[in-house]
Amino acid sequence: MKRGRLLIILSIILVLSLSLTSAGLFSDFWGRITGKATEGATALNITVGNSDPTIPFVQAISATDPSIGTTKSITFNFTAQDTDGASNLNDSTAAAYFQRAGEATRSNTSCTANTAVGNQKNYTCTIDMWYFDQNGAWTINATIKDINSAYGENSTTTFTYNLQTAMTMSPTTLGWPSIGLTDTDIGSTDDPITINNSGNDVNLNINTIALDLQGETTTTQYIFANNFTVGDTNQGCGGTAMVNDTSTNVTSAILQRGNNSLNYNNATSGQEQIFFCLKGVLPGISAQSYSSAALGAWTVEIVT
Amino acid sequence: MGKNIIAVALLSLFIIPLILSAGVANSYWDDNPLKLAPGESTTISLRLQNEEEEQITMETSIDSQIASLVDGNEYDVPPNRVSVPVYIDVEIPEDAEIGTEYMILVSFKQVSSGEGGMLRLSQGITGKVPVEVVGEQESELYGEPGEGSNFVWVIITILLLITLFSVSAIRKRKRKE
Repeated sequence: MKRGRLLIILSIILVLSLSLTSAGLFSDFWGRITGKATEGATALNITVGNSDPTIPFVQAISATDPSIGTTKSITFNFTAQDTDGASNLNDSTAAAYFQRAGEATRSNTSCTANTAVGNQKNYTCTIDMWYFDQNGAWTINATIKDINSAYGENSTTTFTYNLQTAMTMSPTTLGWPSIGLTDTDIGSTDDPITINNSGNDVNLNINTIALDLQGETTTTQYIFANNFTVGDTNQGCGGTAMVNDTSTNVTSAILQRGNNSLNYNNATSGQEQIFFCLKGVLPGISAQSYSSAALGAWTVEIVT
Repeated sequence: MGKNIIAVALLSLFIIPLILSAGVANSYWDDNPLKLAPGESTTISLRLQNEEEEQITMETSIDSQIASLVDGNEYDVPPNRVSVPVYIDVEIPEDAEIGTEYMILVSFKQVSSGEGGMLRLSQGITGKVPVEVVGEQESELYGEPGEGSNFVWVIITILLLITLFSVSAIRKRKRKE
């Protein structure tokens, strides 16, 4: 009987205390006793886990030849992965860069997204390399962000950009005004000959191979190759005398690589200008036309 | 009228390009020589390009004691930067010392008549292929399939056949027992 009453009383106390506590009376009571705040506004930062995207695969690029005087498009794929799902990848941030110390970075900041498979997506990028970009190993840097701007990158692979020794030359003929037998130091009316380095080779020497010019009417008469000089300054009359059928270096004319379209006519734009000069003719040759038609064209060559 | 026709005909004979443009691509340069071991040989290529709108012909010559042209010395190069390979056989002497450096000089000269002006110009390019004699493991050919690896495959095949015969023989004995 006593046990039954005790249980009933304890149950009533428990029910009352629970209801008082849930109503906040107890906490208020505690606050009044201790003076401590029982409630207040608190800023909460709740971080929902976001995994950074990764780029587990970058397609190998085989060694590539430059294209003379223009760009060479290189297309390759990379795979991006996001453990939060491929839909978490921000396609518009897929980009790729070709990098090499001391060189301008070549890039494609709008690589094309392909179909997703699982939590991976493949991207296709095309990057243009210029003819004057340095030969050697270039780092392939593929990057992407997810929709939370978390960043993933892979720059572990390289590709080789080959050496291109190339030239573009204009004009391709030389003419002289009518000259008298006693005239000397006459520059060509087509000077200068502009030579562009349309590849990426450097420190190229410029040589010329001259041949005697034969008379077109009296074919036994010639203006000899060594009557001509070639140089890299105006008229070229102070330049090097040429030797028949022999490669002759144009002193101090050196071609460097550069962007020809700058058209500075110097090393920065990868250009050189050379001048041909007729020093004079042998006394006694007849007045007639002399040309390269019989013995062949002269050669302007670049030498690594 | 007759005079005019002759003049035009003469002009058309002498139409010449205003620009000459050609190039040679190369996989080897001073900092990246072709590395071969003594006695090894390989075939490399240089690639000719022509930026002009018409085909050109390049006459090729090689200056080297260890290299020779594979396909003769004249190459037609089509327009618009189509690459034309020029194959070169390279053979390192058996007695070459490791560390020896060779330089293969390859010259290309455009075949061109001298007609078309008082003095016509053509273009030429001289490229080089540096070669370094190295130990076998440093060689570019190291690990590539060759005669040696064929021998290894023959040995492996023989061993596999012996194993198969042995297994079948053991099975037959067990069946008889």
